[in-house]
Amino acid sequence: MKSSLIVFTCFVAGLLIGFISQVDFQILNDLSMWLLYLLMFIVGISIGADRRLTEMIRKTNMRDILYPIVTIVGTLILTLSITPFLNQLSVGDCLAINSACGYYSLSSILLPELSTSTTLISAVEIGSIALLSNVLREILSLSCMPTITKRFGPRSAISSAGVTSVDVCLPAIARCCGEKYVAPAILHGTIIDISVPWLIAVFTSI
Amino acid sequence: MIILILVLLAGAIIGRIFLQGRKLRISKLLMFTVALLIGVLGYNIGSNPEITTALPRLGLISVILGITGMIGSIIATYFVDKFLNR
Repeated sequence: MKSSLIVFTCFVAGLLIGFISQVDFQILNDLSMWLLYLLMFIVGISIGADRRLTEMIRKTNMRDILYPIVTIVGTLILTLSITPFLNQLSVGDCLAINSACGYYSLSSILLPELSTSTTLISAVEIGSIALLSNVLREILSLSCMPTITKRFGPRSAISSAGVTSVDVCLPAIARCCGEKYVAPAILHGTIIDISVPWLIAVFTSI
Repeated sequence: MIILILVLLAGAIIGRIFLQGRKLRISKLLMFTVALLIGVLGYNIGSNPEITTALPRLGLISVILGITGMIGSIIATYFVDKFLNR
């Protein structure tokens, strides 16, 4: 809980500074990418230094392929159950937005192109919703990672991260769930990563 | 994403060759870098006018959808995990 709070505070502080200071620091945009590289490198070193590496790879099995499917299905079922309350959006668009599982960069670009929205909310705005909701999923998963791991187990923490379990959330997964979950998390993120464009295409067409 | 995985692999190879079997204390370093990363992410969102102007009108729908998707996957995985590890 304590580390969740620290991370969340950092996020809010960054948000406020970004909002108040009107100067656009391009360097900070690049910095996030470099920080991510640094994180991946550190995680890599800690996996490499761990003697259980070969055992970890050997233990990757069919179950690890099942979990990303559970992540997508779980996301879609609960989304479907709340669509009656979101009458500004069509069912297909709701499912398409959430099928991105945290993949905000792709969904916010794909959805305005593919959405055939006839409701009050335009296709361009659906792109904005996809961006906001999927960014939120990433931020919440990252900041609540320790709590989710504790309450629901490491598999649920990986699932919560969705597609970001392969990049942004991977260092946090390594830290909170342990290094043995790094390989399943990479597989989880990669499978969702490949599925998202297809899912969005399918749901926007219904 | 491919570059990220390559960086991870490079780290793993270096760790394997030079540091194998040593007890590394990188938990704090990881925590610090994650906090820094999310601070920068927050900054990027806060300084993006496209997001901040859409926030008042589309914010609530986005929050509902984002949280629903996340909770759905957590619950589904929790029960599948329980079922598989009976």
